[in-house]
Amino acid sequence: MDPDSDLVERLKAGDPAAFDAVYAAYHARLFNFLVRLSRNRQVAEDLVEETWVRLVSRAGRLRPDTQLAAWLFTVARNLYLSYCRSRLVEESHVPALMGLWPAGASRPSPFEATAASEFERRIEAGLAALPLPYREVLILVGVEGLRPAEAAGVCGISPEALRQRLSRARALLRQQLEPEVEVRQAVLGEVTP
Amino acid sequence: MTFRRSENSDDGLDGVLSGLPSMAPDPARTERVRARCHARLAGRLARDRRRRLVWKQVVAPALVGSFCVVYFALMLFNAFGAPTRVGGGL
Repeated sequence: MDPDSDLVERLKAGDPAAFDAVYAAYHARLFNFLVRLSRNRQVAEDLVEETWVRLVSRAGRLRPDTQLAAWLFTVARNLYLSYCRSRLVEESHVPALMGLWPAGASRPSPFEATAASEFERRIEAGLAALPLPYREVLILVGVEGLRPAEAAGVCGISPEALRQRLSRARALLRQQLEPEVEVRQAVLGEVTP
Repeated sequence: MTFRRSENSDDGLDGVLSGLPSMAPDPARTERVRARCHARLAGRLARDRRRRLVWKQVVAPALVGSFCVVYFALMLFNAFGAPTRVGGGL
């Protein structure tokens, strides 16, 4: 029996313990996914809250075969896209205003700011610099460990399209990381007997 | 570290990505969201219970009652026939 189907049944029945189990399993993962997409901790906190509220308000209508991970990441992603659309008009004025702002537009993402090592910081910066369609597939599959079929469902594309997008995303990220990796290999080569 | 590549995966890169540190959400807010969702769940359960109660105590008896009234009216109609017109007309 699918482990999710039991949780889904209990969620449909309004079981708070089932909600707690899902919440414990996915809250941090959804939050990290949204921070990496939005590069903004506050936005991620708001969107992840809305994701949970959606789950609770729609729990009664979940299908028995619902895959909770895919469902939650899909809702989180759609909320982020809605947020982007709502900001579009606002941000169309930003370039003109940013010229007046001394610090410039490119802030480090929260992950870059807290990365433990220079290498991690480079990866986070590389991820953050990818266009959204590539960033989201890499985060879903590479960071969050979703199966490619699940990630394709989350992004609303076919598995074949996901495979191509993932391959392109890896190539783009690798381009940014390759010099860093070579340096690490050289350093490792020096210290390893 | 080498990035072992194949058509469907890139083990080195995926390994690096899966090993990235995760960021903890604000614990106070995490607890607030959980409490809010619990309250919503409880509200939904109470609404469902109320709906079931209304169905059980109001709608279902009303339906059964009206069905009985129609049934007995039809029985009486069949037993005594249609009322005959007095005086008749052309």
